Formats: sequence, structure tokens, C-alpha cells
Amino acid sequence: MTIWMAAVAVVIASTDVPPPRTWVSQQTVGVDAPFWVHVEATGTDVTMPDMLQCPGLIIDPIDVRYAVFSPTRSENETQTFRRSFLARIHEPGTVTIPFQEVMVDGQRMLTEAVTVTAVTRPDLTGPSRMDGRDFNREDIVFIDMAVDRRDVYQGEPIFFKTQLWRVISPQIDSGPYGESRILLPSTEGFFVENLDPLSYTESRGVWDYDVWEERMILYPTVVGNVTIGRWHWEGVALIDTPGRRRRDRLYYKLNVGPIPITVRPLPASPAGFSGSVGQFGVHADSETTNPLQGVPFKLAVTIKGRGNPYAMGDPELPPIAWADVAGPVRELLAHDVDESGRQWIERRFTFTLTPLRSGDFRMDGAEFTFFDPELKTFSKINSEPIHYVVTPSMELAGALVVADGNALEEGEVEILGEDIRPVMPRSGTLEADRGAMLSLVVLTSMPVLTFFGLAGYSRRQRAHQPPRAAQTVADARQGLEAAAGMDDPYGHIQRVLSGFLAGQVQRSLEGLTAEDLATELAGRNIPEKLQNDLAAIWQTCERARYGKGAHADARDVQQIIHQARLCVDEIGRTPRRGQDLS
Amino acid sequence: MIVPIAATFILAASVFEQTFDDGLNAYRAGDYAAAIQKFEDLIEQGVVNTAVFYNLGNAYYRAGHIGPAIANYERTLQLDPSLLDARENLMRAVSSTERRLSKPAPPMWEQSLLFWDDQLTQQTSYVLAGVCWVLGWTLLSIRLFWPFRYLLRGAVLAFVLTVIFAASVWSKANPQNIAVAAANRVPVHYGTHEDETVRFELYEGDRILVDRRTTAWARVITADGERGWAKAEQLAFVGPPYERITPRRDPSF
Repeated sequence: MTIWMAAVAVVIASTDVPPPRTWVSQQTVGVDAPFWVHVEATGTDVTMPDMLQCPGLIIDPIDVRYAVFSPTRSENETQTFRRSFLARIHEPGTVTIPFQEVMVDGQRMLTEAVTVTAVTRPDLTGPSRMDGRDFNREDIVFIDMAVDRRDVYQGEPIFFKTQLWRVISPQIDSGPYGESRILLPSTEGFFVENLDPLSYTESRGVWDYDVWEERMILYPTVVGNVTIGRWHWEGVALIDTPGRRRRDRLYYKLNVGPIPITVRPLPASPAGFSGSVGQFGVHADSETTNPLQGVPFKLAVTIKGRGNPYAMGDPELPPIAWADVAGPVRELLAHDVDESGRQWIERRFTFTLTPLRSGDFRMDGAEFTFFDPELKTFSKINSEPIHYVVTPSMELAGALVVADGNALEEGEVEILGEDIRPVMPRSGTLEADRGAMLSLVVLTSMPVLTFFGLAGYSRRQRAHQPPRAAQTVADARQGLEAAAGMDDPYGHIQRVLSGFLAGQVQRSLEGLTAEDLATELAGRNIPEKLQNDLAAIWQTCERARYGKGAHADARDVQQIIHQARLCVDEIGRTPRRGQDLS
Repeated sequence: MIVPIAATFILAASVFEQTFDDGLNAYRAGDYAAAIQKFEDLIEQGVVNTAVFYNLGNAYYRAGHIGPAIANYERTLQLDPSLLDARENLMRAVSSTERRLSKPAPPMWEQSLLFWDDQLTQQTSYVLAGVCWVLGWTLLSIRLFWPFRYLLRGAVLAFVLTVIFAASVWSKANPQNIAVAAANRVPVHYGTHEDETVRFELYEGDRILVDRRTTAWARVITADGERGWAKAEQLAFVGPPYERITPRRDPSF
């Protein structure tokens, strides 16, 4: 009830144009304790003072925040502008913050003066404005961001968090709207490691809030003055008002930051510095202290502590003349960040040692050199020394044959690069790559050219060979021409015609009479005149053969030959039903 | 005329072999910097050879330069994907990088159509395409004289296989333009200027795709789609074309 009545007060108040005002977050503060001084004015066009000038008051020139509150998104409507200054008072006493001049819609207006009392006993700070029952715009939604330190050494991590506070109320919803601009703070000059965000409920004053906290670890990558940029957030609060159907809106434009960071360079580093900044401890753990000659074993060196896990160099092993050392293989075993941003990391470096000789050996501890920002000095730490007893290998009692067939001195082992495969010898000749274009052209074109060559040859062969039907007519004509010189020309003519017509009708015509021949030809779609001519020739030949004279008149023979040839030509030009003319 | 030209080629080949042997001897003697220079000289002179790339990768690995080592193992596997030593060394090198970033995958069409040619070399695909090409035209030629109907079908099948193998040859001759971060930290900017905001950083050995390149900068894309501009001198380009990764007599090597 109280909340939404207060909300009503907010809405009603927002409809009137209040005068400019100055007020403080606490009117009684501890000496050197920070507090906020707010200057606020409402209008369409408002110009605020860039900085407060007040004797006795120390203002942070960097951390100046400004916010805009408005019932609409339009910048042409009346809006409430607020500029907030972070202040401190060095000495106990009362400080009067004088009136501040603001320009509101072209008019010069003045705020009222405000007094702040600084005391040496911080528990006498007096009531906070947030503890009061007044419900202000900034109580609904506000943002904040902070770092755990502002003065670091290069490589030293900075815990950075941003918070969005939204009041918990059944009558109020708040958050970004569709077109709101949210510009995240710039972290240029830092390597950023994002942590999981947090969402929790916290009380501030009389209200409970939903807090969304984004956290990250920043590692400065440059030296000097670096700035975490401003965070700009826009949103809206929807407020239920009794008796109204529409929810009232209050638009926010909030800014916080920037935060200046001073990054100091590391002092001149000693030899063997690992690059790590923080506080660490080292421990070495060997897979065995009685290894076998020639058999690799693992030595794990673990670094634990607080610092940057991504800038941790390898620990140094002491010189080990009796074994080959490979690695290390690096593993990040643990990387935890507590609520205050302090990191706990654990990295393991695993070396592979292969004893080359047998005997008793003492290995000094692994060494790790880091820079401690709290002590502001470099520290070198060592793990415990380890005593090894290397057992000679019976297999290595004689000479060994290893890569390239080289036999080695007895009792020693040559490492073949057991972590990667060995090199390859040369195979064949080496030559500059000239590309395969020529062979590609040859390979592609030769079968094509061969095919088209063969196709052309095939076509030419067919062109020189008369077709089968033409060959039959040509044979018949040739045979008829030869009949003139025969002893029995009529018999020859009849035989030639019989062979030709048999090919046309696909059956033998021997023994057929002229009438039979005419009947056979009629069924083969041969014109009637042609049938009669052939029958007449056939009859003439029969009569001449079996007739009175063996001596045929040459002119008669030539005439029969001519007529027969005409018939043969005529038949050769005419397609027959059911005849294969291929 | 032919004899001097042939002699030139023969002499060049023997110089290459001598350089290779010198590099191998330097590697075995532990002088990895000298071995790197020798093998890089061969690459600069246009020698494209599996053993050269593989040995150069080993030399870089021994010298502690994981980025160029990975680039050369990738080159080796481009030429011979079935070389197990190169594949294993590549895995070891990648596992020793900070983030063990996976290699950008090829386009989806290539993954779908050419999933079968992972173990084939370019030369093998080339030979298979050529055999199918010749077979197809041979079948067509036979059909000129003997019109058997299955000859036409066989020829069509042969030509289809030719297209498939030719696609494999093309994809192997034109692989993805991959580069490997060759410095400990490689900042990737929004633009081609050092003052541009750093978008993200690459660690040595991270493999990225290069889709644009200027004289001094290259636009890179990581396997998870992040993109930006990095300095070309901080990257080892896999190729082809196969470039020298190390400048001559670089004191850091």
C-alpha cells in the first residue's frame, strides 16, 4: 500500500515542474568517507554545472554521474536531469555547499544551499536518505560499477563488476525497452576474462532489489593510466496507479563511470622470471623415484596461488645431465573466483624424463620466480629436491640400434624424439613444381581426338561401300551386261534376274513359270507394268532356252538385256513391302 | 638445345637434394634454426614435397614454434592425407596450444559430396579421373564399330565418375585458405589499422580461415565464426601457394 501510494506521489510530482535543487546522500558523514552530492533540474532544455566548486569539499573529477528521468522517450518533453558528484570532506566540521546555477529552458535558476557535517566517528553518520520513507525515482532503478583496486602492477588482475538494481514491487516493473541504448563500459587496454554473472536479492534502505551483477577479471595489457569507460544504460519503469487503467511510465538514462586505473610497470625482472604476478606456492610430484634406464616417467610440478592463470610461465627444472627432459604439458586444474574477486588458480606442468644412465642422482627442486604485488618485489620459490635411483636396463647391456642404424655407446640411450614422430628421409629426386597443365591437356585431348578420328574413318569407310540394296542392283546390271558374251545368254539373263528377284522377294524363284513369277511379284507391291515386263522377259528367256535356236540373235539379246536392266533399275528405286532394304 | 636444358634441370635437382640433406643433417645435429632455413629455402625455390614440409614442421616444433609447425603439418597432409606421422605430429602440436582451437571446417557442399576422398592424395584422384575419362571415350570408340547398347551406358557411367573425381582433384588443388597464428598473442582488430579496437586475440597455433588479404593484413575467421583483421606477418599461411614462413636470417630463429 505504502509503495504504490508513494508511486502515486512520484507520478503526481512528475506532472508538476519542480524547482532545481541540490541535496546530499548523507547530511552527516565521516571524515574522508565518500558521499554523493546531487544537482537536479526539470525542464525541456537543461544545462547543469560541470563541476562543483566548494571550499572544504573534495570532488572526484572522474566519477561524475548523470541521469535523465522522463515520463516519455521524447527528448522534446519535460525531463528531469541530475548530475551527481562523489565528494569527501577531509576535516571534521560543517561544509556549506553553495547554491548552484542551472539553465532551465533558457532561464537562469538557482538551487538552494546544502550543509554537510563531517565527524570523526563514522557511526554518527545520521539517517541516510535511503532510509527515509521518501520514494524517489532513483530508488526504482539504478546502476553501479566498481573495481577492487585502482592502482595495480602490470599483469595484476582487477576484479570489475557492474550492477543493475531494480526494486522488487508488485506494482512496479522495470528494465530496458525495445529501443533502449545500452553501451557497455569500454575495457580497451585490458585482457578481459568474463565470469559467470550473478543474480541475487539485496536490501538497500527500506527496499528490496533484484540485482543483476556482471563480473569480469581485467588484466592490464599496457602501462600507465588506463580507463574503464562509462556505462550508459537506458530503461523504463512501469508503475501501477490506482484508479487508472494505463500504467505510468518513467524513462531512465543512467550513466556511471568512467573508472581510472593506474598500471605500474614491473621492476627490472631477474633471470628466470616466469611472467607471473601474484602469490604462489610450488610442489613437485614424481611418478617414480626408481625409474628404469631408458623408460620415460612423469614429473608433475604444480603451481598454486592467486594470480593470472593466462600469464603463468613454466617453472624451471635444474640441469639434468642424466636424463632427457621433454615438455612440459600444461594443464589448468583449478580457476576459482570468490565474491570479492580474488582468484585461486592451480596449474600443473608435467615433464617427461627419460633416464639416459643408471645410478643415484639428486634433482634439485623446480624453481618458480614471480612478482608479488603486495610485497612489491620478486620472489623465487623452489619445490623439494628429489632423489632418484635409476636401475640399469638389462636390455641395454649391449649396443643399441636406434634411428638410421647407428649403434651407440654401450649403456646409453639416444632419444628418438619420443614426443613427435621422427623426420623423413628424402625419397626420390626433388624438383620445382611446374604444374600439371601440359599433362592435363594431353590426357584430356588425346582420347577425344582418337574418338573423333575413328568416327571420321568409320564414316569414310561407309561412304565408299555401296549399300546392300545398291550392291544387288549393281551386281544384277553387271551380270546382265555380261550375258551378251555368253553362249547361253537367255539362260544367263534368267539366272541373273532370278537371283536379283529372289533377293527382293526373299525367296527362291527357281522353277517358277512366267505366270507364277507375275503372281509372286504382284504380292510384293511391284507395279503392274513392271510385273508384266518381267513376266514377258521371263517368258522370252524360257522360250529362247527351250525353243528353236541356241544361237540367239545379238540384237534380240541386247534388247532383252536392255529391258531387263530397266526393270532392275526400276525395282532398285522402289521400296518393297516387308523387304529389308538395309 | 635440349641437352643444356636437361642439364639445367638435373643440376637444379641435385642442388635441391643437397639442400634437403643439409637440412636433415642440421636437424639431427640439433641445429633446428639451420634446418629451418634449409627447408624454407627449398620451399622458396618452388619445391613442393611431402618430406620437405613434414621435416620443416618437425624443425619448427623442436625449435618451439608451434604455429609454423602446425602450418607445415597441414601442408604435408594436403599433399598426402594418409601420412600417419604427420597426422600424429599435428595432433601433438595442436594439443600443446593454448586453446586447441579446431580447424575451420570446409563448406557444407564439399563435406557432403567429397566425404570419401579424405585419404586420397590429389595425384590419386587425378589418376582415377584420367582413367575414367579415357575409359569413357574408349567405350564410345568401340561403339562406332560394334553398336552394343551397354557400351553407351558404360561410357555415361565413366563420364559421371570422371566428373566426381575431377571435383576431388579441384577441391584438393584449391583447399581452404588456412593460416595459423605464429606469434604468442595475435591481436585481431576491427579494421586494418593498429589503432583499431582489438576484437579478440589469437594464441599461437590457432588455425583460422583467411577470406581476404592485403599486403600487410589478413581478414581471418575462426571456427566459431569470429572475424577480424590480423597482421599478415604474425600468421603462417598454409597455402597453396606455399610461402616462406620465416624471413631469411630472422634473428628470432
